[in-house]
Amino acid sequence: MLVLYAGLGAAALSDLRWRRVPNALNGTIVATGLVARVHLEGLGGALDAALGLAVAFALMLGPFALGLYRGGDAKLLCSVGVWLGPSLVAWAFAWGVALGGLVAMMMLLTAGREQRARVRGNLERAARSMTLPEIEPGRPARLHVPMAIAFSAGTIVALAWRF
Amino acid sequence: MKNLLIRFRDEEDAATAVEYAIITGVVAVGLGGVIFAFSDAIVAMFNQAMAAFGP
Repeated sequence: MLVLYAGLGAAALSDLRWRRVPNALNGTIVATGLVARVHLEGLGGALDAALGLAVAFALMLGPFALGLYRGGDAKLLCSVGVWLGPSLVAWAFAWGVALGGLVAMMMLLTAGREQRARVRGNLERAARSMTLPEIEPGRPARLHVPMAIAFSAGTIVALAWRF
Repeated sequence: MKNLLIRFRDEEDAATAVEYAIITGVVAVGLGGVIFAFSDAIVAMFNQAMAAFGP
C-alpha cells in the first residue's frame, strides 16, 4: 500500500504543479498494483484487480465523454482500481467526486469577485437550460480543480473507512 | 467510440473546470443522501425481489 500512497502523492503533486497526470505514472501504479496483488493473492488477486480497473473505467467513461473529467484523472482512478478492487474503487470514486466539489467551492471562495460572478453566471445559465456550462478557453488555472488531489484523498478515505 | 478511446488513451490533462466539479460534487452528495436516507427501503426492495426468484 505504501507504493500506492507514493503514487497518489506523486499524481496529486503533478496535478497541482502542471495540471496533468502523466501516463507513465498511471502505468507504474497499474504495474506495481498488479505485481503486488498477484504476489500476495495469486490468480484471485489478478481477477479482482482486473475487475477494479473495469469498474473504474465504467464509472469514468461517461463523465470523461461529457468532458467533466479529463484523461489523467480518469486513468488515475483506473489505476487505483487495480489496487483496491471493484467495491472499494467505487467508494474512492464517490468520495473523490464529493471532495472535488468541496475543493471547487473552496477555490471559488478564494477567487476574485469577477471570477466568482463569471462562474455563478455559468452555473445559473446551466441550471436554466439544463445543460452543462460552456467553459471559455484560456481561463486562469485558479478556476480549474486539480481532481487528482480529490481522487487521491477519496482513495485514502475509502481505505480508512474499510479499516 | 474509437475516437473517444483514443482520446482517453492519449490525454494526460487532469484539471476540471470549477463549475463541473461543483455540479458533480452536488450530484454525488445528493445521490449519497438519498441512498443513505432510503437504505432500509432499498434493501427491503432487493430482498423482496430476491425472494420472488427463490424456490
